[in-house]
Amino acid sequence: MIAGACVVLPAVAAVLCTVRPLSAFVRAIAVASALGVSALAVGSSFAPSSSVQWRAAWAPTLGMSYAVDLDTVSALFLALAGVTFALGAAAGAHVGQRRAFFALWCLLLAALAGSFVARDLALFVAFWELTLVPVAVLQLRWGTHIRHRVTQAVVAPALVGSALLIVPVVSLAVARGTLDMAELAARPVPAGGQLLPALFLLAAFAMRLPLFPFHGWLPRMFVATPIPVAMVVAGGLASSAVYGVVRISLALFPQGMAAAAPALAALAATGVVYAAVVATRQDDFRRLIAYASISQLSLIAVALFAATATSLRGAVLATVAHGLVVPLLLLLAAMLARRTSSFALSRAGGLASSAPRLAALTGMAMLAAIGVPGTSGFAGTLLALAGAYERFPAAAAATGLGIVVSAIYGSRALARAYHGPAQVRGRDLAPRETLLVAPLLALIVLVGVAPAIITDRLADDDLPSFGAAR
Amino acid sequence: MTLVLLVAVPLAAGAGLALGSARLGGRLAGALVTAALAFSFGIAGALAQAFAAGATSLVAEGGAWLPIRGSGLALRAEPLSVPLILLITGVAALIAFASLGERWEDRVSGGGGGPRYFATFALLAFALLLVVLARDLVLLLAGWGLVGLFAALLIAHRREGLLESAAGRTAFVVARLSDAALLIAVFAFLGMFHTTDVEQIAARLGAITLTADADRELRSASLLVVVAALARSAQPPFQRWLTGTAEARPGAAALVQSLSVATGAVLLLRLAPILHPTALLLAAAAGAAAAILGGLAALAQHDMRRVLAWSTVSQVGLMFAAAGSGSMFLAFFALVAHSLGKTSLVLGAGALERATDGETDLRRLGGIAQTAPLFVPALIPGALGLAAAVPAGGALRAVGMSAAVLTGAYLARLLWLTLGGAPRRTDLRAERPSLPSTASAIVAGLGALAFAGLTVTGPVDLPGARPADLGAALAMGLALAASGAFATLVVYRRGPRVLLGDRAVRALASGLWLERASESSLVAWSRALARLVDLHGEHLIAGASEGIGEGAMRMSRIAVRAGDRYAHAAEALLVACLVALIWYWSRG
Repeated sequence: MIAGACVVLPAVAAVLCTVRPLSAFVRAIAVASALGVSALAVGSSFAPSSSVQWRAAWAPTLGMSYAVDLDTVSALFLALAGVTFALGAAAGAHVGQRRAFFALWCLLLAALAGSFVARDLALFVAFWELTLVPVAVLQLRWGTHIRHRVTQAVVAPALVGSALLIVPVVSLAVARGTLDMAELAARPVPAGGQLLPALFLLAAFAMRLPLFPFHGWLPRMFVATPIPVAMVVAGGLASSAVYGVVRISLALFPQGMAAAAPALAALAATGVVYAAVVATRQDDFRRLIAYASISQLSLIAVALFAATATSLRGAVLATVAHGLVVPLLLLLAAMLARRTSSFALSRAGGLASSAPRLAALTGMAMLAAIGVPGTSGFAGTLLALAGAYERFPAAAAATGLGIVVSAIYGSRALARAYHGPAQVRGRDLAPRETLLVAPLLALIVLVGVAPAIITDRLADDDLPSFGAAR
Repeated sequence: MTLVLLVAVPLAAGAGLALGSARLGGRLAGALVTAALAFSFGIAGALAQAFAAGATSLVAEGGAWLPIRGSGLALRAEPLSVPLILLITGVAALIAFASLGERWEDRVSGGGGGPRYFATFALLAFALLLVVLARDLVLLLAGWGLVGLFAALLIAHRREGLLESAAGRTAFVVARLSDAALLIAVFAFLGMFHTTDVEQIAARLGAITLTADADRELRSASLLVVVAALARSAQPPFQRWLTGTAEARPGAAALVQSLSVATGAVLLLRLAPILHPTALLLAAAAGAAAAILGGLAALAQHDMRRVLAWSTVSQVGLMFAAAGSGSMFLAFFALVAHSLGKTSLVLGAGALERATDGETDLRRLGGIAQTAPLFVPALIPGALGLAAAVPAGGALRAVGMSAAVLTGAYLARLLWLTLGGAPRRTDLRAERPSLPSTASAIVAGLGALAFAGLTVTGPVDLPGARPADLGAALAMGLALAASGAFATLVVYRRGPRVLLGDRAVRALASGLWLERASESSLVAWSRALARLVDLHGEHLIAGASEGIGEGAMRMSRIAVRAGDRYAHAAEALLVACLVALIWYWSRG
């Protein structure tokens, strides 16, 4: 029931947001529902499994059912998404047409929660597709002047991925007569027939992750969409793609993934370096964050494709780290832009003298993005690459170059925005702004110093068995 | 518990200041950090006593950290660690005390001023202790990364202008390069030995005979460790980050040059039992080359601080040469003597710079001994201590003899052009140096001399086998340094002189063009690659991304039109896909 409540709660909140008398409270409703989802996800770890899962018939003849459940990985990602959505909603104080915005906001959370809790492939696909709708509308309605072109560039590749996702799902329904993930994992497709469906599924996940070279939409979206939406896209959608690879691709088609893994790992390792190098050329802070995000996600992908017990734990930890750091950076970029009227780093020189707290917090967030010790980025990167090295030493070693380049873009961005001759003066962070940033920063340090609070919860049963994948 | 306290005290001081010190003054923050480091020094002394009483190893377990075999939050002190923890805590406390004399009234841009500086200072000391005491490679890697980060932050702690920030950026990029090399090396060791515990790896390595493949793998991992150490210790071609730190605060420069930069040598000393002999040989060769090159470059500098930076390159090169050639005793001797001597000289030079209103050009200084005689005791003991850090015997005979002559020469040139002769700028009047800086410089310099003397006479013992000819080697080193100093004084007795052509001087001053090569190897490739990628690759990908969008819209229009004519085309296509997929599966 808890798993079902994770979807129902934000869906009800979405409906409440549309009620006119409640228009003064819509932001509070959105924040509360997101925190509620987080609390439910965390609470599910302590509840008996019977009170978490829920199952009902949907279309038995097609092998479909309403089956929802929360495992450690999905609970973790859902809790993370809840925190990001809550902070994003809290940060969205100045949006117009608040009722519509926050209704779509809650709908997006409900859809995302659905894709995390679904234990039936058809249900997963339904929620997966549903997430696109609010994202597209939020961007189209509240985006910048280039929103139409960008929405087209975002939605079309996603739909191509979705089309490819549907093909193996329908095929499995025909071939196995069920779409229940547990049953499908118990009756795997013959090894020789796994490659093609694995690649079809992966195409959808690679578009959303995004994996190099399918990443073109992300920097555009970060520039064209409101910062709160960019925050949840970075924190939520990427983790749903990672979840899809772990829970569906690797669990249902291990041999297919194993066959494709060397090429995919090479592609992902290239993406780590490529995106980091491109980030060094960016003047728009949002684009820089987007490329930094792509670089980190590519590193996570290297670990996913290596698919060892350590690398998968590392991938989950690194995904959490990414989901904390990128929204935090976006939040700080918005605060910077509020003071300089621009996201351009070149227009914000010397801001540290007038806004030292903002400079210090951005510095800490950037260091976390780079992955210095003591932050979640270090723990995630280290564990992910330690596992990936077992299987793909060359790919893991190549990502080392990305680590070096990340120092270049990180230090360059900080120097341009905050140091040097003062070009602008802006007030320092207000207490409300500090309060928005503090929880993410605290979580980043907590996960960095005590990663065991996550890794210890990831039992071997929670992750696909990879003995078969070799 | 004692071991945990040793590390936790500077961590708590640094973290506490970083989190809640906005209203503290610089001096109060400095006093807190000095007290914390002095307390840690006391704990290190207690640990040294425990080892002197017969303890062979002390371990503090702090529980699990990451699920990697052999790793955990665990510290281990061994006899090898004792001189290092005494050195780190003692020297750091001394420099923190010296920093109390700096100006902290002005809030530097970036905010925080003194408290931020001292917080970074304490955290750097914590990270250095972690590198020395980490039981396993993962925790060592964390400490290693933090040393690079805090050293870069300390260098970038600016007073004004962009220069220091640029220097800090360079330091940070080189630090990350070093981190990346060590990271991959750790993975390789983990892959080979299935543990990251250094002691366990050494035990396993000693118990097995390596196959050709395993030997190659060990060699690669060891070479990566050496690269990481070379980068951290500013050995050519990675020296740019150190020689570019000319504008750092004196205290920051002293800590970085005396301790932080020597971390590479510490890494080699700690990991020597598990490194491949080829890698150690390479470290020794690179160190020997750096010792000579650094000495030559120091001799050609006009800026006081750059003389000291190149001198550090040279001195740390000697440590690498000793550690790589298996002479642990001499490596430790050079490390301790260098740290104390360099602390004294950098603090003394910093005080001089402050007293002369920022003048660091040797061609414009001079006659300071007449105008401010207190600088004589502030600079001379450190220089003598540094000269005593170059033993010209044992494993270091060949390189040590050349380095000793060069050390004597550049130190004599530095001292003569600053203290000696007549004042060369009439408008320059040196003020009295600040008491904490001068006192610390004198204590560190005398400490270096006392350490050398006590090591030769016996009371001080260091890890490794004591060379039979230690006294002779040190005497020879001092004699050669004196001859180098004498030759320099003969040349420079009438003031600054140009002995070589412009081109030759420029070549020497840039470390035989290594400065430019270093700049290119660190940053230029990244810039060129970024331009290439951004101009071509990214535009292509962006075009493709938008092209898919455009294409999909066009396709949908075509499909709508086609749908009118061929109502079932889409369904037919889907069925065809399914048939193809099912056929594909049925083959397997």
